[in-house]
Order: sequence, then structure tokens, then C-alpha cells
Amino acid sequence: MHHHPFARRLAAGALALTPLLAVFPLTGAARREPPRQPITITFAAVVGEQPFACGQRYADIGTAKSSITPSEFRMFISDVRLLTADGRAVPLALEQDGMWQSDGLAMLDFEDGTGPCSNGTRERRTTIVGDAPTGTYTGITFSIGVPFERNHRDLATQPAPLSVTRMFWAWNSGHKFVRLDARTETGKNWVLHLGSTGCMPNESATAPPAQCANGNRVTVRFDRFDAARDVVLADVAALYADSNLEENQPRTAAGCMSGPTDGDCQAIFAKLGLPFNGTPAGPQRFLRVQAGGLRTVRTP
Amino acid sequence: MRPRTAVRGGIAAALALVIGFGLLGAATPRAEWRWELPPGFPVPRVPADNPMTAEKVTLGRHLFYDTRLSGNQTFACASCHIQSRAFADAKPRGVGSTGEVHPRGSMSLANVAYSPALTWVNPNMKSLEQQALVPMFGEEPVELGLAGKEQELYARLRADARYRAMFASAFGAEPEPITLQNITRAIASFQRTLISGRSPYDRAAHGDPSAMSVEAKRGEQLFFSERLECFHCHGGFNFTGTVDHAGRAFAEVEFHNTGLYNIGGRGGFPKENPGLMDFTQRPDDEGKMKAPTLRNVALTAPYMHDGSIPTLEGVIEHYAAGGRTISSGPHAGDGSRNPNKSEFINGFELTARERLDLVAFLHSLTDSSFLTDPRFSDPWLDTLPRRGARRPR
Repeated sequence: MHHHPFARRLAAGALALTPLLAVFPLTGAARREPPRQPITITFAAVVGEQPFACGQRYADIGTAKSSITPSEFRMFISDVRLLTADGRAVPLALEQDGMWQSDGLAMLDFEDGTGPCSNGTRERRTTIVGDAPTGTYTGITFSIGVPFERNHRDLATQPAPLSVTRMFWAWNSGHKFVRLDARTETGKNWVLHLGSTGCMPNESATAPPAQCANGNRVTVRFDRFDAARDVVLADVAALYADSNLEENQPRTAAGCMSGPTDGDCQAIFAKLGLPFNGTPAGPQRFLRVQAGGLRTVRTP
Repeated sequence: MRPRTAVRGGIAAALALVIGFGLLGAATPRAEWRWELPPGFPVPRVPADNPMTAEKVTLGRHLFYDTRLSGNQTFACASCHIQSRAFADAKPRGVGSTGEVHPRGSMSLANVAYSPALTWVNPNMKSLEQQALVPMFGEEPVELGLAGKEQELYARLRADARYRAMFASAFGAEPEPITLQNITRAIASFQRTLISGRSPYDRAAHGDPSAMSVEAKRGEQLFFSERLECFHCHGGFNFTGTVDHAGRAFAEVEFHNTGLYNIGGRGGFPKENPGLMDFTQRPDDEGKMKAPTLRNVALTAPYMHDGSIPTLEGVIEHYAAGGRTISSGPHAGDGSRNPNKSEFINGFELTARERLDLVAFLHSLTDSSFLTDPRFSDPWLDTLPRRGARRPR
């Protein structure tokens, strides 16, 4: 019987693999991974006490008690770590779903493409899904934003969720970290586009920016958070509590597009806990934990 | 059994031949791109991952002129970059597909292949591939208005057999060549071909002194004089200090404050155009912009980044005064005293004849062959249904 040359090569390959197959189970047994548990972090967007919904009208927003109608709400979350009672921060390994999460980065999407959100997508995403070593976690910390080393790569070739063009910040060679668009009843646009500013060119002709003066990533930390029970609320009303949505600083972006000279950013950055134009960072007030939140806040 | 095996073997061999030829075809390097550069022009520097090919240039030209590249299908790149205007437009500031007005004017794309920093003022905008994403997906302001509509865009292109064929021939090795990256690579390749260097000034410099008028030649002397200092920022073969090309050790990128504003006496510029300060956040970078090429400048009125000077005569007046004075209104201020002003802008005096000479020189930089070169024109004009950009009125 003659073996086909190709079959012979296959057989030889199988033989060559045999020693490796013999070794692998041993090494596997030698460093057995500790057991892991799936963990889902649930978010909900709210406007004060009401659930966020595209096209819905919300009254009493900001210092001028404006009525606003939102048309977009998405944000990037990264560096998610679970806190233990003894003070350790354990990274949450994010599921790679090819859509909402990649490496350590996740996109939350609170809009559903309806009404004034028509430039958005029908798909929503209000959870971050991953796993961590089995254990008891009492708190959580994460960052709102895209890590610097991933923020300034070639936009045309980024994997999801960094391929979402509505979150491109192309002129600044990066991504918007938070995008929250709305219009007041008086017809004024009011948006928050949070992202890095003051990005300085690299010496190399093709490299991305070497550094950004204002990273504008928000570090969030909740010392008491139970992923199985609690919800992280992103509150539009709290974010704009000290802003006057009827009076945009003349000749600046409508609302705040993170410009360091845009006075409309002052009150918003304060709520985000970010430093702004000489004002030091404080505690963030945009996100909060609602214990047992799923019971009281329905997602629309 | 044997004959049958032989037949099978024959088919396999034939298949192998076909596949082999297919692979050979894909692996054969395409004909080297020929630039056909004007005399004295260096070879542009092209990103290593996007070499020039005729197929990409053809595809890029179709995309550049195609209104399907806007969210509402009314606008193309060519709507603001019009060949008869040296690929700028006649508006003070750009107007996008939804009517939104850009804070700055459309720039000429002539010789954009030689610019290592793109747009009026963005030190991070280094490649045409990267820059194309701004008009496509930018929303502050909306230009082409494609943000969130990329799948719609791909579907429109996929639905057109001409595009399927053009993408396949430009990016044939890929199973699904209609991608964002390939769209920007093709548009960038077309833009790199927009080379302008056959003006009367060039013809005079390369053997035909009669190509330039006596007035223009006198204006040339003024332009390159230490008295006027124009050439410090608008020097070199492309009449700008921001330049790169193959064979250079490094790219040069310059930004200058020309004393166009001085709001409040502290160097202030209108808030929507802070200039380089937008990126560096250094107060002394306020109002610094890139010096654009002056090639075809007679066609790109109105002038300056915000179109605030209507004529070339007005521009000369601004520089002769060493900066513009605005006596009243929100922009009031003596630009000549702007603390961040370029050291080369100190004012000068010109006789009436000298002013005319200088204007004549600037007109001698108009390359009329560039404005009518059929390689750069709207390729959709001869086809039905017509997809091309609207003609300027």
C-alpha cells in the first residue's frame, strides 16, 4: 500500500506532535488555575429617578430647570477590578464577544436607535460580562474611558467596540469616552463628548500622539458593591445639576466637548470628578450605586 | 478504475494549474506607479502600507466624487474640494452636507501629498488615510455626516457592481475588500495624485522666461525679499514651510500666528479657532495656524483660515500693516501687537505698483492645466444614474 505523499506528511506531523501532547497534561496539572466565577456588572442610565429613554422628555434639568430630550448615550468602560474586603483589587477578565467587549474594554450603549436616537443602533448594552477567581467581592473600581495605549490607534482598523464610528473622535485621533447628546425644549443642543485633549504630536511622522495633557479618564470606585444585587446608575440629572443648559458659552461647542477653554465644561467636569482648567479633581457624582437596583429601576 | 483515476488526476492537475495561475497573478507585483511629476518636484512620501497603484487611484477618484459617501447622499469630498478652485471652494468657511458651517475654510488639495500635517491646524493629523475619517465621521461639525452610518455606506457600495469590480481590482487579495480602511486608502491614493506644478512661475523657472509677465517677475523679487519676508513661511517648491517628501531626513511642520486678531490685547483669537493651542494648550500657541501652499492661491479666495479676508489685495494689506486691526465689535484688537505673532511679520511699505506686482506674482502660481486635468475630474459625469458631486454655481 502506497501512502499519498500528503498523507505521509500528515502522519509525520502527528508523530512529531506526540511528545508535546504527552507533556501538556502534566504542566496543566502542575499549575491548575484557581476556580473562577462568572460576574456580570449591571448598569442603568437614569435621569434623576426616571429610567433613560430615547426621545423621552425630562423636566427640571440643571440650574435653569430645563426640559431635555436625549438622542444619544454611550460610554466606554475599562480597567474593571473587583475589590475584596482585605483591600485587594482583582481584575475582572472580560468576555470577548467581538461586539461590546475586547481585551479590557467594554462599551455601554443606553440608546436603542428609536426616535431622535435614529443615528444609533437598535442593540443596547447595559452590562459588563466577565469572570474572576471565585471569592467574595465587596466593591468595584473601573475607569470611564479608553486606555491611552488603545485610544490613538488607526481608527479605520480597530476591532469592535472601538469600530463604532459614532464614538470616533477623529480630529483628535481618538475616541469619545462618553457621548450624551440632548436637546432642550427651547431648541438648544446640549451634548457631552468626553475625551482626551491637549494631545501632543509624537516626533515620529506616523506615530500617534505621544501624550495628552488632559487624559480625562474618570476613575470610579465604589467600596460597597455587590454585582449580584446592585446596579451602577449613570444619572444624567446629577451630571448636569450645576449646569445651565439654556446658556451655552458663546462660540464654544454646544454643551461640553471637553475643550479646556469651554466654560460649559467646568460644572460638568466637576460632577465627573475631573480636574478642569486649574480646578482640582473632586469626587465624581455622575455614577452611583443603587443597592438592589434592579428591583426599583426598570430599564425602559 | 485506472482510467477514472487518470481523469480525476487530470482535473486535479488542471485545477492546480488554475489555482497556481491565480496565485501567480495575485503575487505578481503590479506595475510600479509612475508619478509624472512636474520639473523640480520631489517624489512624495507614501505610507509603506498603502503603496500607490493605478487601481487604487481610480477607485479613490470615484469615491472622492461620489455623493453616496455622505449620510444624506447629497455631498461628496468634491463638494468642498472643487477642481476648478484648485480643490478648495469659494466659501469663507466650509459648509457640510447638513448645512452646518465649519469654523475654517476648505483647503486646497493641490500638492497635499507633500504635507506632513493636514488641515489648518492639527499636528497629530499626519496621513491622508487618517484625515479622511474626519470629514466622513466628524460631527463637530458634521461634514459628510456618516457617523453611525458606516454599514449603510458599505451596503451602498456593495450594491454597485462597478464598485465591486473596482475594490476587487484594487484590493483583490482580500475576501471582502469593501472596508473602511480600503475606502480611506483609495481616497488617499487619489489625493496624492493631485499634484500642481506647471504654472507660469514653474515654466519660467524651467526654461521659458516668457511664461511670466514683467510685473509677475518684479513681484517675485518682492516675494522673496527680506523686506517682505513672505518666503519664510511660504517657501520651497510648494510655497509652505510644512513639507515632506521621499528622500528627506525629516518632515517639517510649522504653525504661525500672523496677527490676524488680538482680542483683548492679550493675543486672543475667536474662540472657535484657537489654533495650535487647541492641541498644545500653551497660551502662546493661540492663533497659530499652518501656512497653506500658495500654489493656485488666486483661485482660493476668500483667504485665511476663517475666510475673513476677501481678496489677495486685502491679504497683502494685512501683512503690510504687520497685522490686522479690528476697531470694534467682539473681535476688536490690534493684531499687529499680538504677543504671539511670528517674528517675520513686522509690516512693510509698498508702492501702488509694487502691490500690483506682488498680486501678479501670486497669479503666476495658477496652474491652469491642473484645473482641467481629466485625470482629476468627476468620473461619474458620463454615467447614468449620475452620482457625482454637485457642480458649484
